[in-house]
Amino acid sequence: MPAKTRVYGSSLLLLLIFVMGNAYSDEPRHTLFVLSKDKPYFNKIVNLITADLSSNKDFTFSVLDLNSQPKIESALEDSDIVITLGSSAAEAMLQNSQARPLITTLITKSAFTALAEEYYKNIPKALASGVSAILLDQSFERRLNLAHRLLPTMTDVGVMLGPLSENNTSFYTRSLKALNLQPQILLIDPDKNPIQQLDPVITKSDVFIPIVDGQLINVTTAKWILQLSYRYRVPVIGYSANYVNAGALASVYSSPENVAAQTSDLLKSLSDQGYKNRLYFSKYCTVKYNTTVAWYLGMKLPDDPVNDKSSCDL
Amino acid sequence: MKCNQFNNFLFFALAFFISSQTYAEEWVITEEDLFAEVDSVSGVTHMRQELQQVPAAVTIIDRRMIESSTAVSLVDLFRLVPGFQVYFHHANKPGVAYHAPGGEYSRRLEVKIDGRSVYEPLLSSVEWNTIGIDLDDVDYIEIIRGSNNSADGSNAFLASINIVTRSVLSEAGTKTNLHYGNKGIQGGAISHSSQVGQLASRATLRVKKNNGFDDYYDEPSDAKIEIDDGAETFTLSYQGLWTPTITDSIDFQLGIGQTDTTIGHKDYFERQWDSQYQYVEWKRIVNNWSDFELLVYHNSIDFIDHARPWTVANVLGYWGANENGKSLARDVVLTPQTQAVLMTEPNQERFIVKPSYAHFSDRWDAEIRSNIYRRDDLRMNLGLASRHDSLKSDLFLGQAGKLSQISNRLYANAEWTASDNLTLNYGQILEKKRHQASTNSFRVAANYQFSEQHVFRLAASQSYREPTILEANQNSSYFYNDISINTPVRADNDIASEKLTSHEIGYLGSFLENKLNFDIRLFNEDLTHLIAERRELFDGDTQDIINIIDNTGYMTLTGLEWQLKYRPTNQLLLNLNHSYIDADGEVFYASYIENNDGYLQLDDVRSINECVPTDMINVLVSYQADNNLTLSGSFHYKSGYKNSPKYIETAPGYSRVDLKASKRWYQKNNWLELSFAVQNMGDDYSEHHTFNRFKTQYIIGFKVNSH
Repeated sequence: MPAKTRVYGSSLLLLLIFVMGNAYSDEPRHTLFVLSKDKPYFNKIVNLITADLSSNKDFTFSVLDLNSQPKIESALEDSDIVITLGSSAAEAMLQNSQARPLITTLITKSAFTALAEEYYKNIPKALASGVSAILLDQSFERRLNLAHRLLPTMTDVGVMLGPLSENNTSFYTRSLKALNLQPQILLIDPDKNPIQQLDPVITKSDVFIPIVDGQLINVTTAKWILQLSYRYRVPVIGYSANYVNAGALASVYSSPENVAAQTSDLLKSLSDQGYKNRLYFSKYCTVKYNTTVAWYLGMKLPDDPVNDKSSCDL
Repeated sequence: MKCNQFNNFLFFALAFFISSQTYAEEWVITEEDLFAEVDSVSGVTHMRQELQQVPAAVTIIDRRMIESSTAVSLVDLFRLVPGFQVYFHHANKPGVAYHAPGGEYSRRLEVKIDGRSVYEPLLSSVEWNTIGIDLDDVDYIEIIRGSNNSADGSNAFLASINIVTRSVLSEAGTKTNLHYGNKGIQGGAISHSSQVGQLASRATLRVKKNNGFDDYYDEPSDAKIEIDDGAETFTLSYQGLWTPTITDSIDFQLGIGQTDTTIGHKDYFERQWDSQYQYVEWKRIVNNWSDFELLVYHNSIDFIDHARPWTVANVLGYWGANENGKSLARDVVLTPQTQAVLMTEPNQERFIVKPSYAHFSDRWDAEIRSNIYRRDDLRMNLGLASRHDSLKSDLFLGQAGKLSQISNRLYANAEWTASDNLTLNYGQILEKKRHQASTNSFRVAANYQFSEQHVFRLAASQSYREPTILEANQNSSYFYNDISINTPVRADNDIASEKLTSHEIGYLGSFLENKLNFDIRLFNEDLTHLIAERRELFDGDTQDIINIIDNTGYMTLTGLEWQLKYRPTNQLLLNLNHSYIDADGEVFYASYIENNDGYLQLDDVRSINECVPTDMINVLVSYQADNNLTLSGSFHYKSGYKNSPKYIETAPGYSRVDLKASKRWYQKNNWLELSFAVQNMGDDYSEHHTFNRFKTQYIIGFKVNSH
């Protein structure tokens, strides 16, 4: 049997089991949240989801983190749905075939791809095995969209890629050219002087967009990017709230509320006939601005800066 | 011995931590990479912490607030901080103090510029005119309201100011700044920033001068007091940044400065300062969970004080016994032996009090610290530092040689996220001067976050301020050969560290989507063993009283302070603060009481309750129009206080209104700015002393920045 047919077959079977399960049972489905860490950020997402579904009699919930491994084993037996938060929890549950259907949230595309390749050879096979993923990454288009709203006349867009993201260079170049923007791409070399690398690119840019990479690259370059951006009065569009707090003009990112909302939506749709296991890109986003940086750059910000839905529209 | 073993253990523990850190090899971008904090540290603990997590009340004066303010000098900014007193002993001897009485030398406040302490050991205070930076150089100022010994050491006894200058990377090209005002205010600065090869650099040259306060006419006598407190300052500084790799950065700074001003009040004698500093900081971000820093700096300051000279003949004429065995100084007369020796001096014009005295102070400080963020719920740092202070002052030390002191400090700060809502902080510092007992200061704090917008903080600390090298060794004497003719001040032989026990409750609230921030601090600060001068009767050749530096007082400070920041848009800024302080304390002023009959051997203990202004209020409003015209206004009120327990009169309270208008024109990255500031609109007021009349001050400014 061809692989494609096998995948479809498996998916169909799973769907059938779901539909039949729902048809013959009025019992609420027990949802187990498995957290990578017992941290406020993770707990907040769980609380938002459970609060949103509190009036929905179809679900009951329990929460465990990876520190309670023995309890997880027994909890899995009583669970109808497993939702993981974070890549460590996703990895633990992907190894466990009992945890199905499995929704992995708070996970980057990079991490999910690596886990899918490690445990299922590829993403389609992982999906076919009853796994879905709600990705944390915000698309590059959304960041460009935000940049364009703030600087409608921009022509040159600086993009910094690190060792983990440089494989996607052509994607970023193509995306920019498609919008008639001139790409100024920098592949940062960790062993060379970062300022000498950044300076010529930021000088030529109307806006600068660092692409998320490994933590060490992100942390160490941010300071220099932000300082050079002040020198040349070039706005930086970041990828996290921390980046804005540190001095980027704006960021578009997935907040706990965004992750929770999309996970709730997915949970509610589980019983729909059209439900499919798939990679779900971020449906929602949050935009955060730094008013002090806007003041410094002499820029006027949109009136509703906190949850600027239009920036999430493509 | 046990202490040494303990020191060794911690040193090796630190060394182990640093050496065991290696690059992590991660080939997948995870959520941790997305959430990673940008490399910035808080001055409270030297770790990455957000305001909601820090164990102290903090005020941040950022670039926007500086430019929106009506400040024309650096010290003006501290009126924006609740609990901070800004005062002028004379026009060019400003003082900044937190809660406790400031006095001529405000000694309980640490001030750092980019991590380099500018607390001057020779005068046990910060000499603001010599620090070599001005408003334009500052990126932001972080003010820790409350003791910060556990991170900054002994001088951060009541509060700590961390001034962060603008990065050399944040500017390019040449910036020129000129200002001109009444009272002889003139100044200019030129700085150039560039990237040459691997090195980012900035050099700044600055000159400024003013005539100080106007002469004072006493009422109702109309007697004139001549005020001669002008100053001229010149500074030249250089900052460099080299970043050989993304994980390593090396900052270095050099500076020299010269200030000609005066000392004292009523009698104004010339004082000429020369200062220089060198500073280097190497920072390495070792991996995702640790970094390490090495800071080494050298501050050198010397000054020449001019004085009214006294010759042998003058001394004999004033204190020498006449036929009745009396002197012009009445009750004070030279002993026959001293008089006989002085009379045999062949050169009767030989100086006993010289026309000028030179003083020299030198500080080397080296600090190594490492921040460790390996566990999600635990952050900590460890630091080890050593400092070498040396002084040379024939007058202050009563000796010709150099006096040196080595002090070491070892500190650790830890933050533990005990639960989703609760963050606990603990910090401790062990300070040890060579050949002296160590002191051990600590701070503990619990921050409870009711919601993302509301944080309550409970904190307690115990801190010690060790006497500075001068406080412990001062022996100001005027000699004729080996005979001490006059000793106005000397230190007690057994001077102890000042002690502070502090408790506070704080609240930090954020409203209107973080546009409005409110912070309140209720505090109780018990200060004991306060170091000051007491007076004793003394049987000297030319004196019957001596001042002795000693532990003379205690004080309890209770009160509350709050600040509110409102920035609804990038056009409007509102900043309010208020402090209410109830001071209760006494100083042992003298061991005698003077009356018409002479001296009575009675202790003169004086209240210092009124030496702290009870209420201080500051309001700043600024609006920036679309055409880059900025209008700012501020109101400041300070209630009356005694500037010293010495005086019976209370300096009256005052309020002042300052205004500023500035407009900036841009052409790409070049800009030009014109500004006009008015300080103290309306009637003049007394600044710290009755005769320091602060009259309306007008300053026109002009700035050009060209890339």
